[in-house]
Amino acid sequence: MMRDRLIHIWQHQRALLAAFVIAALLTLFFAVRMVVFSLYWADPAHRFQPLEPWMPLRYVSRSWQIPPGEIARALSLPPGSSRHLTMEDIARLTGLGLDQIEARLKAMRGSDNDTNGGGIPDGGGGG
Amino acid sequence: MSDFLLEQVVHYGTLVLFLATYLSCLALPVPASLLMLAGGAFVASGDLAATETALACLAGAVAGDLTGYGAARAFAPRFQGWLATRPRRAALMARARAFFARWGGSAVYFSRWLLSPLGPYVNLAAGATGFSLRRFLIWEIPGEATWVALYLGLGFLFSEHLTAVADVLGNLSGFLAGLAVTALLGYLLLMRPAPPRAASGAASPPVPAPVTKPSAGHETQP
Repeated sequence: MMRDRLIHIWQHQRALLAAFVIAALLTLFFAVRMVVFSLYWADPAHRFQPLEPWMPLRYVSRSWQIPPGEIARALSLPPGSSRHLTMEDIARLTGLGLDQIEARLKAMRGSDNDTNGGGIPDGGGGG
Repeated sequence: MSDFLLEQVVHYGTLVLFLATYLSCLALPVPASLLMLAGGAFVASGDLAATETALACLAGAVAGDLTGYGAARAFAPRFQGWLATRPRRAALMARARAFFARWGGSAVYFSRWLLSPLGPYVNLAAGATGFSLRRFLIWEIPGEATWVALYLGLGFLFSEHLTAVADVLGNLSGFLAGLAVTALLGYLLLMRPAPPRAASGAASPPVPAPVTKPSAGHETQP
């Protein structure tokens, strides 16, 4: 009988049973998180994220669909210096805050920034 | 910490990816998946070179796996005497050996990418049970190549939605690994010997019930 078997497992295999229950709960935990994150990110409104300090210039250029040269010119970066600059480096070089840099990028994109074509991911969060 | 590591990928490039995949294959808590996704995105933006990035990730992962496998293999003989004095552990080791003899290749291959959270422990088990290095490498390299190609590829394709992909993949990967472990533990529970006095069991073979005192004419056949 299944009941006898369960009682036997409870009496003699308690450690293994505990491990099984913990593994099942962890699996459920990840399943729930996966569903929650999928629903969260499925909403286009959540995909547009502000600039993050770690983002390199070319990555931002690609996400915002603005050529890197144009961004460098708009932020008055010295020519040729932008190869491996992150937003943090650029903020330090120009003395601008990330929000000010973002405002300039938005201005460059003009009315395009209301569409969600080029969402900028954030850096960490959630994981 | 993720932001700090992402910045290091921008500044030091493939060296950081090499170290990240190396350390993550030793079960250290490094967000190698997120960094590889970022690596793919940086290849897409032209910040990193594709071949160099892929090779660095692959080399780090293979080196990390071999470190775990080699350490377990080197230290295993020291525990042989200790195992022999404990019959239950010795039996467990024998079962692990039998498992690796039969399923070792698949276990190594799928724990590289589909069930990647289990990878470091499979390395230790493979080394400790004396799974051959040649067979290990035959499955290890395609497995890690799959992992690297998958994450760099997804990062390349979804470079504008890195966090979204990282969140969903991280939990999918945890879910699949959890499911595999739960299934394995469930299997072990069901395969344990049935209760000694049970007349019949749903999952046990139909063995005739042990007759303690045969009384005339009374059989306990189902």
